[in-house]
Amino acid sequence: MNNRFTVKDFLYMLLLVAALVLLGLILGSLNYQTGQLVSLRKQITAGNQLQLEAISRLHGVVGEAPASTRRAPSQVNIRETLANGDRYVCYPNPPLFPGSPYKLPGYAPGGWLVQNLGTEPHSLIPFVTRSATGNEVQAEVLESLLARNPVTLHWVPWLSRSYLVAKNGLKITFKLRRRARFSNGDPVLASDVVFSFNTMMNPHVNDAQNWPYYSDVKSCVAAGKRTVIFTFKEPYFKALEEVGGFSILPQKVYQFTKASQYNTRSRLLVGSGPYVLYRWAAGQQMVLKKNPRYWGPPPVFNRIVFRFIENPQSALATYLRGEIDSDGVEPSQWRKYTVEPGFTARNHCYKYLTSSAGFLYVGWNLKKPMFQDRRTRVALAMLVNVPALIKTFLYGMAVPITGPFNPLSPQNDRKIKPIPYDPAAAKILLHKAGWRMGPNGVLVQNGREFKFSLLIPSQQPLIQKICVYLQRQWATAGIDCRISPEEFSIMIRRLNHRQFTATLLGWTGSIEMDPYQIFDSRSYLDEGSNAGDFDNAEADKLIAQGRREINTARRMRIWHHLQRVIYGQQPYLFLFTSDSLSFIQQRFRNTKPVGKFGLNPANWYVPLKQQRYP
Amino acid sequence: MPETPGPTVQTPEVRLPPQTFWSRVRLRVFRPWMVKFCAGYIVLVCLIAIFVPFLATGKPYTCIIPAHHGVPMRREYPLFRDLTTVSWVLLVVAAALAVQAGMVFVTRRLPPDPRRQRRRVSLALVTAATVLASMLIVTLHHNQLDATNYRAMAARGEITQAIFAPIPWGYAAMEPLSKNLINKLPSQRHWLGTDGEGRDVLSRLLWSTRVAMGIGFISQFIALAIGVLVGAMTGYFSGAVDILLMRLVEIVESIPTFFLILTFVAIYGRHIFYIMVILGVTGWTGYARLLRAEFLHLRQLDYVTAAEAAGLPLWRVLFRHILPNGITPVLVAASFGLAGAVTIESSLSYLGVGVRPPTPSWGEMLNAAGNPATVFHWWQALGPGMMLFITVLAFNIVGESFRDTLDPRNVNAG
Repeated sequence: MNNRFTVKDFLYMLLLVAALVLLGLILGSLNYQTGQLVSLRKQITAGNQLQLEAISRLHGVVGEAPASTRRAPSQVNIRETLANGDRYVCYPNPPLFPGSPYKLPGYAPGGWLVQNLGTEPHSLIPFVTRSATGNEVQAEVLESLLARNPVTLHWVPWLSRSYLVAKNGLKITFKLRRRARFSNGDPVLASDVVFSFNTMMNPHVNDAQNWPYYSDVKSCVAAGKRTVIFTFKEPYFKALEEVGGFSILPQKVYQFTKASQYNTRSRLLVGSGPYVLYRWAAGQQMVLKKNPRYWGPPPVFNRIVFRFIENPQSALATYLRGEIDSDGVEPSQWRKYTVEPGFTARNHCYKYLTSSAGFLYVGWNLKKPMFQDRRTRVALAMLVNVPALIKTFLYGMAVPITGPFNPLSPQNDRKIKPIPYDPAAAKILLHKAGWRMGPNGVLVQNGREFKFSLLIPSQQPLIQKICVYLQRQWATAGIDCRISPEEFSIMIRRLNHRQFTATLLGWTGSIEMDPYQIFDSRSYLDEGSNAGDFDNAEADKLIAQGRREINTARRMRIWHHLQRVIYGQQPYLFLFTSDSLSFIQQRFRNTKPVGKFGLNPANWYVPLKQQRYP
Repeated sequence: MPETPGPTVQTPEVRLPPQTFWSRVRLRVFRPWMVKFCAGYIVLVCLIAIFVPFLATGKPYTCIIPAHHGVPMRREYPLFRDLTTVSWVLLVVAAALAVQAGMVFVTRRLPPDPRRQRRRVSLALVTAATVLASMLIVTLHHNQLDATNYRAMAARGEITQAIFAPIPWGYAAMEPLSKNLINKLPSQRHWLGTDGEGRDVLSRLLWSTRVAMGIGFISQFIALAIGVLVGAMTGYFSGAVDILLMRLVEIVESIPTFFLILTFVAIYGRHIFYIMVILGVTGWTGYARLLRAEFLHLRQLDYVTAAEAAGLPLWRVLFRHILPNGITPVLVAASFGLAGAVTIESSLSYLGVGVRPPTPSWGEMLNAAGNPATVFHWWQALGPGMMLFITVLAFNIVGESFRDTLDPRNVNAG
């Protein structure tokens, strides 16, 4: 027809140009990111030679265990209380913990470890990441001043060489190890420690959940190139653990002028740990590579691959196909497979309760009028038969709990009697709390029906089963509960914004937890973890007391008292702490859980002949 | 053409009295036994969806509570008392359909004009009554919460003369955990066994027809409404309207429905209503395209020009004169769309983002049955798998039969 250049053609041209500009912008930003990586790589190569030298000097040959056979006087580990009451601990070499594989017959480094992480972390920004899975990845890349012996539970120097705790607990001095280096070759210096601490405490960095633990730190200063001194306003029982436990970042890499720069570099992860982040294919997997310049005991595996399979059924199927090397399984899966002939011989199967295992609970939003009466909350607990629930849905592989503390921890008071399963008594309590049966079969109090929705994470069949049971049990008393499964990140956002009525969720545990984060009334502010606003003056007082108490026995008495207060108030309906259940492929050796933390993949290895990947 | 049937006549339609286009289509579409079976199956599933509260529930139709604590003996109707709003509305709709069908039956021997008039009047009345009744139910009726275990009460003698439904288990009914009915094989008590929470699988299977049919019909109704409107406008007006609306069609077509639902559900929480609406709002483009083509062709015909010349209002020309002649391919497509919607809902539920627990849905039940590679309970997957398969197949077969019949290239077409 006609080939004239019309308005339409002009518009097409315009569109094309716009598309090209857009493409250019995208490519430009990519280029910028790779540019950053290139400069990082340059730094790494610069430090390469230095690091290799350091390693060969200390270990003889790379790959061999740093066994300090020559025991010069200065090589002896010291753990003593000085004359003035200060506690001094010095480890001239990084310690080898019980369970380390280096001296075992048949030990061979190499191969890959493919693990299932479950949920993919949103970001890997140190301190900012809130997900447990993000922390799991960071644990391979980042290190801290101290490490914990899984058997004795002592804190021992790691990136630091020694530490000195003042008698009054108000001052801790760390001396850093000379050989400790980041993966880019830079030595770990006092300035890096101070930078890391200041970053963590920067009010514009999105890590409010960390601040409560460091609220008592008065100052963190570098006294010389490799000496860091922390001073405290008040004594705190976890002071050593907290200042010795946060991740140390290389200042040179993470340096920022505005906090927003730090908050958004979701894929930057550089530390001094045994592995470096190599590749992160969003939605598929994350690959960590052995840090060739690692300063400490050499890592076993050449690569650690994390995959993201949320559904436990799919995860087990993937494990059975041999595509992942270990899998944390559900009780029903455990029960089916462990009785299968030959399965336990072909796989390592571990069932154990760790003293760092968390617990499952139903959290009430105490800001809502319906949950404000303590009797109502107790009645809700009385309607739930936790032992039967464990027996039916978990095949007995869990322990009922009477508070937030781990049943194995000395923090837990075993003398507390659990609230009994007693529907009749529950109904009487509800009546006392002012609930009357309404026209729709639902309880009514002050004209409001007892209706709420229970926020739960989706893709968790076990949690869903428990919820269906709870819903049914509460309905028998005229309580209308709707189950509302949400994607995990959405759920956390709703909890942080307090847009929920009740939730069923778990907390990870620790050997001795600090209840401040979850149960202190101040933790309601700033999107803290006390999402349900548990505000109890006595509990606050006890938490403050416990945190100040350095003496362990006295502190435990305070925690026991606190547990009684919390369990009596029932801000949570405490359900249970479940056993950890794991299957590990047969070719791995030295997989047994050591001490009180359960499985530790850092100890595993694959004999040379059975290694599947280079 | 012979007026009366004779032995020489080969084609069966000639034997029939001259009838409307639709009655001829109907006869031809449903001739193969397979289509008859499928249509019967669809009707059956719809009936189950409507009447399932009476088929599978733990509440008795009626029972007598003996005198106790000074309260005199009384008769109760727990099942009827506890019918939900949705159940009532469905019953009203079913009653309306029955009334209209009865009207069609009663008037079938009348001459065409009075017949059409009476049917139209009754349709208007029935529709008005249904809408009114539904609105009343929605505003006045409140769902009852009643978790009483009537079976246990009957067993203990606390209620007498209880008449239970054929399947005396509700979809969410759980026996006390102490009895441990988790994952039990089919038995006399539970015909299709129990699931991981100890609930009757058959009951859940029947209840899940509600979700499937609801998703299918409501989403396609929304899609048809939008599709017809847009298709009619683009086809009739063409020009600028056509260009603009067709770009809209292209934009909507470029939205990946499945991921839109996943995202939406992640942000706004899951509700079956959202899925219905999203499937409807994104699924209309095919209908609009089909109808546009029909309208482009039909608007040039003389009878449309005549209607326009007679001064009829635009909507009447569009929807009374052109639409009935162009709607058939759209209806055919809708039957396939319905099957597609059922599949999408099942996929979503299978992925765990469909219905809220404990509402049953085929996909959710398949998911709960486990993974064949690991822990798998076949009896929990058999029912929903078969139902899903047959339902989708049935809609497709009926749709295909319609398409073959209405295809203008087919010589025997209506």
